[in-house]
Amino acid sequence: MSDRQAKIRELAAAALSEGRVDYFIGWKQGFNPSEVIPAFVRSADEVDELVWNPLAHHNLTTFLKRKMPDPPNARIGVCVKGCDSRTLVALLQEELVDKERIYVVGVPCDGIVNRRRIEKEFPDEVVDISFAGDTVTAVTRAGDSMEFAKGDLLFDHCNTCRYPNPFYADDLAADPVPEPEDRTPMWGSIEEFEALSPAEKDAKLAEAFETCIRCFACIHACPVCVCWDQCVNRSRRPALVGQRVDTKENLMFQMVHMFHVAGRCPSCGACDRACPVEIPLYLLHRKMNKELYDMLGFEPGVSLEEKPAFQTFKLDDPFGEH
Amino acid sequence: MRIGVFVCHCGTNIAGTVNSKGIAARAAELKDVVHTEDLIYTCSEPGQSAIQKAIIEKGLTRVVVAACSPHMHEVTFRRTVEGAGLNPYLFEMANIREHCSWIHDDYDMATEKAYEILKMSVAKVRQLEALVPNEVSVNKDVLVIGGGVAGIQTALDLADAGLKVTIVERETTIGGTMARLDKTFPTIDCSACILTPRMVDAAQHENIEIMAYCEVDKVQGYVGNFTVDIRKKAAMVDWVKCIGCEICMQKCPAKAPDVFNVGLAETKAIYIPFPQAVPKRAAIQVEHCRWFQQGKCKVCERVCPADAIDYEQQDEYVQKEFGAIVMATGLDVFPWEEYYHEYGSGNIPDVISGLQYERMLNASGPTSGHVVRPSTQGIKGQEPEEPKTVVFIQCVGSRDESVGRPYCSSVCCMYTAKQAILTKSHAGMDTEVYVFYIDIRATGKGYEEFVKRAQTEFNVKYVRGRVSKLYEDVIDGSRKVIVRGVDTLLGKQVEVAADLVVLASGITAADGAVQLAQKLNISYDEWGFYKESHPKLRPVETNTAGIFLAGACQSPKDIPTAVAQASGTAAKVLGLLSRDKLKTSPQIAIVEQNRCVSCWKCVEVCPFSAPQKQEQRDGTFKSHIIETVCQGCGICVATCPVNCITLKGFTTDAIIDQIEELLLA
Amino acid sequence: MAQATDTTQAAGTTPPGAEDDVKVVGIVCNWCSYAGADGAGTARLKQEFEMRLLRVPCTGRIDPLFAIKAFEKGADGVLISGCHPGDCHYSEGNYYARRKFELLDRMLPFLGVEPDRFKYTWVSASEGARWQKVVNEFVTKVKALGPREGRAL
Repeated sequence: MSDRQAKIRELAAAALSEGRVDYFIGWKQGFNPSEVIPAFVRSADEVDELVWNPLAHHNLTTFLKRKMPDPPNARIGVCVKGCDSRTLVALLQEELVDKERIYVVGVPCDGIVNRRRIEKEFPDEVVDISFAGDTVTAVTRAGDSMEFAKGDLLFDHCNTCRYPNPFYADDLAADPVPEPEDRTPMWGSIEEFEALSPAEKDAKLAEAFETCIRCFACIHACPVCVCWDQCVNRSRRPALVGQRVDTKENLMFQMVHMFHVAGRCPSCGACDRACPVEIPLYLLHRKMNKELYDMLGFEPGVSLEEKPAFQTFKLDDPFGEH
Repeated sequence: MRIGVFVCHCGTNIAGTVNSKGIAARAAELKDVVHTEDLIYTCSEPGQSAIQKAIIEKGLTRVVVAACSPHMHEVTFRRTVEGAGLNPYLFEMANIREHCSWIHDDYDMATEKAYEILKMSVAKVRQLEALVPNEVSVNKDVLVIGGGVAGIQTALDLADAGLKVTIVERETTIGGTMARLDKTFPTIDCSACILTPRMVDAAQHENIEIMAYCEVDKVQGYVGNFTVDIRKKAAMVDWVKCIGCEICMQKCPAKAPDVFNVGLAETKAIYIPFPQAVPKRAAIQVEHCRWFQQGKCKVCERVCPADAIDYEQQDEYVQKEFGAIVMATGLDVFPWEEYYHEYGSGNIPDVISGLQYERMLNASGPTSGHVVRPSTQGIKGQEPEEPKTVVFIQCVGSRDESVGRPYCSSVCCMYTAKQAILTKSHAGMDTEVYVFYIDIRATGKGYEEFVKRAQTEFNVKYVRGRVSKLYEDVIDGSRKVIVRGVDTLLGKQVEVAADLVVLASGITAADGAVQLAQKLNISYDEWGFYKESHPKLRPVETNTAGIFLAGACQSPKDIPTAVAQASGTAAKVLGLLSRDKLKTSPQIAIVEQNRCVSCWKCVEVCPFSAPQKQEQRDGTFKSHIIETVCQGCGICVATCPVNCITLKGFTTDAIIDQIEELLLA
Repeated sequence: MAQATDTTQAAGTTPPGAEDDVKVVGIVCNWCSYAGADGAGTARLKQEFEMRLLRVPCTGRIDPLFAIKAFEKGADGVLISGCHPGDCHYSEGNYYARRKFELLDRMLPFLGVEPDRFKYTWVSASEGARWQKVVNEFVTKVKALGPREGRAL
């Protein structure tokens, strides 16, 4: 892992000093060693703040969408994991990112650790998370520590990962990690929810969406969500979503987001990770992507030449009674 | 906002099942409703006047009429409100007839439902805006697809009125089905004699261009401005040089099925369909030509006096622009062989179709007009025999649910009577002729009298009953077709030993009609007949503006009806193209550019390429929808993630308001 | 018009406003299904009471979110109907719609909505009898499920 970190720093430094990019987006340590946050590095002598470890969960491509407060024609460097590179391809499919102006450093990934799972073990704030091989050690402010097996802490969507190596990158930060034998998508634990009765599903969804505070974190974190201030969820016209914060309006809010990313969502899970109240957003998006795959054999963000599924059609699409 | 609500009784059509008076009175409780009224016949003059009076006296700014379908009277009432000075697009209709009073019996429940429908329309009318139509300039040229008698009639009428007409015909000659007929009922005049002069008129008219052996490949655009790609099929003969002398046809050694003669004879691989063809030019059927299949022959090239053969010829594509398109694609004959196995599935040589018999009766047909038994043809040393007993069976592929054709083909009773009479003329009055029928439909001028003549003067025996089976048998050394049927008027089963059986096969839509309809976005029914805009009031228009119908492509009909309709179609086209500018519907999509995020999804999905990337003053690009191109479908509106495209007349807020009005008590 | 089949139940019909009254929202395209419904009316083909129609120019205009909104506001059933694929008056609208509604059809059960409460289909302007059949079968199924109570949707 530290090899990757070193390589990322090396590539970033080279790109910045050679003037190939105006700034470089990577990850850096957060407020304390147990956190990682996005980093914007503007010169080669700042690259030492860039880190790479299994806490680097952010999908940095979300910063590439147009309307960023860049100087005109700014060239941007960015780090992507495997899942993030699918996002990048999804953005390129729709020409929302200018291919000529980005420099992509691909980071082959063994899986990202879910910090919340660690936090749930302690009543106290976690101030350090360190990695040694497959062991993860967490230490709290009070000095308590615990060891975990990395495999137990991985995100759901790391457990079903089919693209650990970035397939769209200018340079790689390490040799590729072993790929899965086939790319048939795995959908994880949807069946459990699908098996519930309609009333039970409604109850579970109500429970989750009762807690939504409409903070828009999911929308900001989502890389393919590009409407920004014009988002219809913020607008009174048309009145799809009201200003009231109640369970039904909250679910409607998420439905607007979900159907607007339908056919474009590259299953990166950023929405899920961003939600401060841990609504299972990834469950919904994964179900949507599974159905899309069953319908059309289409996975967003895998092939540059393809168009997003709902921007096109086939005359003989195999569904819809005739 | 001041809304007026008018509820129609429509005589008893609505009021018989819905309390029109009651719901009109109740509507006064709705927000912004300042006038309510119930009217017996809202679309009548007093009804319309009442609306106008209320608009003026009460200062109404929106009007809702609860009555029949907007397809019926939206146009009528838009004109009404415009007449009183209110913008015609500030009007909405609540359909409480077709969608309520006519489909329910319970008075209380239908009334309650009608009130809910009315409330939804009031919710919608609040969201409507005043709209002003745009204008487009209009191309005055007309495309007629199909060169049969209907297409020719429409083309001549339009050309005489001064418009330029192009006829696109997929066969090598115009004339259609009428060119194959021998005589026409009820006058027994020669079909070719009345048709060929019209064919020549069309060919010689300075305003008509005939594009024969061509097909429509692609149609783009909209009323007044169609762009059509036409494929000129490769005939392998240079039609500028070809003089139609038929020498190639005589010398060609390769036989080919003769489609014009409905399989009763063979023609050559290089062919001209019939002597009076217009244009009279040869074409090679490459699948039967020895040069194209085996690399040998080229006799036609050697003998052609005009040096017109061109084996290298390719299909050519031309693009033309038209203001209106007329569909006159005609008909085909029901493929009875695939369905009527009880009639031999086409394997009994002496059982033929009505059109085949027509060719046989025709003096320039495969038997030079002699009525013969096909089973006796082609036997060495033997002359073909004349039949002594001929049986006609009506309604083969018509009025028959079991083969999926419940409709009546309109012409078969008459052409059977005609063919029965001609049989007697050609084969002798002593020929026994039977007609098995279900009913006789002889509705035109002189038609009933004609059938009577067949029965009385020509002694044709009409037997009311269907035929259950045909099979071959040998009786007294003679090969016969046994016709087993029933005479319902006598209540007896009957059997006739026939020498020749003619099946009055029904009419179907032309081969390829459906595919063509899809290219033009016009509707068709389950049998491929094109759908008129309204069965009574708009029988020659389609629901696609600028596209009209003439002839059998719309429904089976006889020649007088087809010709009358074709002239009616021409009149409609003339009406459309009589002005230099057309008003287009203002119910189109508009982008609110402040909110556009330039994702270009709208540009990608529009079937008409109406949204364009428009450069703004600050160098950024936003979507802009060209008003005159936009057809108002709303695909872009549903696609735009920002929801910043508004479809005038069908806004998202209008839809949501209607839903909420219904569901929130 | 093809054979009329009268499938309205006369007895046991729920008066509107009663406790188990269901509301079914139908969003139909102007050129095909709305005209098909008109045709059913002209032929006096009897239908269940609970259907309420909204007219749009094309099924391509219909955002799946309209159906979700309808369920959110208390609709017990939502029916979408348009021109048969290949016959769209605007040539392509229903092809886009077909994909979107197939996805919606698969997602709604996940959101707690029973599958019989949503349907998308194609009824042409000349298919009045088919419209009658579609409405009666769909509304009967929705009535069998009864009114829908949801806290999330």
